[in-house]
Amino acid sequence: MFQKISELWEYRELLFNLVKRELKVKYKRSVLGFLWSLLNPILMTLIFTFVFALILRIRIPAPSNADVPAQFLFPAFLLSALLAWNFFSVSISVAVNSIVGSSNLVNKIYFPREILPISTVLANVVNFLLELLVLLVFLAVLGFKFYLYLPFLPLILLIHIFFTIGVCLIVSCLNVYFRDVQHLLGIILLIWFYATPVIYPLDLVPERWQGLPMHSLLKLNPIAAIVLSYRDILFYAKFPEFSVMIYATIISISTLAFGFFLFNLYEPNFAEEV
Amino acid sequence: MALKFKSAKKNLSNGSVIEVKDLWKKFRIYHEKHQSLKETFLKRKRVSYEEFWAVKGISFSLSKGDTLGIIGENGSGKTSLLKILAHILRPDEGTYRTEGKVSALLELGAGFHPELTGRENIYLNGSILGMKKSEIDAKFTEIVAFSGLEKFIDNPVKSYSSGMYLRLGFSVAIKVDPEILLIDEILAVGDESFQRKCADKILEFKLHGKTIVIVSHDLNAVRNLCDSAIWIQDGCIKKQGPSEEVVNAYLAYINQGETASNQGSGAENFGTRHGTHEVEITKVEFLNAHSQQDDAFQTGGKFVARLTYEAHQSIENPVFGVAIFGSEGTQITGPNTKIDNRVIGSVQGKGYVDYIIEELPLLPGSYLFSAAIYDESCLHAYDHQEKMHMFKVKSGVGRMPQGTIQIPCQWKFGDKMAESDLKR
Repeated sequence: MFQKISELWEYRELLFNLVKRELKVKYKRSVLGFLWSLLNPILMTLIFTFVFALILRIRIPAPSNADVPAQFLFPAFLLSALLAWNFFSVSISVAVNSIVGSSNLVNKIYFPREILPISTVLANVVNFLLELLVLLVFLAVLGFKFYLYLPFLPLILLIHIFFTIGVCLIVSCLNVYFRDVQHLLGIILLIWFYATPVIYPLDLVPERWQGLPMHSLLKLNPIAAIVLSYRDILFYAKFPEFSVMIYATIISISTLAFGFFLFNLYEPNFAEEV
Repeated sequence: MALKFKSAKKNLSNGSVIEVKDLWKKFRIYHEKHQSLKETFLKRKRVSYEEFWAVKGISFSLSKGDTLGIIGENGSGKTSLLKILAHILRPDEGTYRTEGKVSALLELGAGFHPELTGRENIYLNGSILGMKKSEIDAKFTEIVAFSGLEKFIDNPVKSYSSGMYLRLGFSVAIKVDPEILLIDEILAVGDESFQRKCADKILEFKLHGKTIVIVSHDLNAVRNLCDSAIWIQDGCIKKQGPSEEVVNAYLAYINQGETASNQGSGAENFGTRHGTHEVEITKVEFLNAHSQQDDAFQTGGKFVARLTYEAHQSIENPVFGVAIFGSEGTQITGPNTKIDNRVIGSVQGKGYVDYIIEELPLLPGSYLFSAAIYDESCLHAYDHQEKMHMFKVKSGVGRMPQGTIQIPCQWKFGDKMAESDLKR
């Protein structure tokens, strides 16, 4: 493990260059560039607001310490978790192909293969940070008072990135052996999205349903813990629950460790399998 | 006791930078594509596959500064071996050890992205090959100058021609500064001048004391560039030793296979053949003074190369040409019927042309032979068989001078020298 990390460190320039490549290719030759990546969450927000706030009339109670116009409550509520979810889901759906799609590299050059999924995640981190910045400005203009809790954001981000890299390592590795992983992933991510309280507040979920402790079950979902922490800070301007944070940290680090372990186990055969 | 210690120590650090011990590598050849969860989990049946051993117990070691050529037929396991050394494939059994930074040039322009500019791709490709940014910064102007793409360096590489693409990839690749360089067939791409640049660069690496392993079908390159060579056949080492010897043994083996199969068509195994084939050279035979087929000749004896042809249509004024190459790949002679003012008129159907040397001036050794039929302008090849044939000159009685060719000469002594003294 330690040896692997030091090797990755040695290849940091390659990692950096691959991240750069991914970002450059994404925004090259498009006039709007980065604005495109904002368009997606904006559109999603419009749709979800229309469906859930306008038609289904989900009411989001305003956070106690902020005075926000009512019509912006749902979009703010949604975006404070949606961006975090999007980073996770986009990273995974791109990273799943990172090894298989780079067969020409994997077959011809040696470098730690972890670099491929990790660079995908890091490129998306850059995107996510830019989106987050826009969101912060938007929320600040609306009158949300999250400033005090902002220093905690990097910590959550770190947990978030660890978890995402861990999952990406696992799926990209599995996809080398079973190509249906990439197809299956679309369905899994859809289910996972609705299993995560992104578009609905946790309070609307019944505490017990058919004898199942729904709240506890939903909170077991590690990405829910992470996404809700973002919302706690940005929307509710409060500390995330300590126990939730501990849980998310433990799960993230174990997922990352397991991801590295699995990846390392199968990495030597990648060249002949892709 | 002391002796034992000494030998143990020698084993530990015998100066080798690459050490390969009994390396085995197998591949699975699947009868049906598995790679789907359904088949693995629902069918509950192992997918049928065959195991194919690509590398079977190969061992060798190289000292610092050695240049090794790996030759063999397609599919013999050369590239697998190289990929193991490059850490790309993992051997199933055996161990290998490399000392110092290893760079593998298995593909030019690896990781180039078509949307990015030449400049951006230089940095990307450089870092993929293991160069640091500062290193690339320092060498950037040289790389661009070497590629000759100054004007296009800020254009996306998708606008490059394939030649430009290769040139850029090559210019980056040669700037890697490893202790061990692994090269696979890169020499085979590009035009003549590109290949020459490539060979020059490898020589330069050699002069700087780098250790180089080359996998190549270009036997002359192996002869000229490599100190030693390994001939791999079906995953095993067939012969190992000085490159000259190994290449000759390999050539002899191929020639044998050729004679055994049919003479004309099986010949494409080595050398190259090109042309439009309106008229073909169906057979090249070497005949001795008694007009018998032979492949070993004597210096000073008669040598006849009989080019049997078949013209599928009437061909006006064809030009027949031959060439003889020494074992180093240097051309010794290359006459044709046009240079020697022999006009043929037209040919149709089968026939033959003899190239006759009454007194063969070649000294003992192996020689490669090219035969060709061109049109009158000598620009259009009907059939050009480059270095596809081989003959030997065997050592005869008496002492032979060293070299490739015997040039008639005389010795004359100065006045003050007494002939009798010298006779003694």
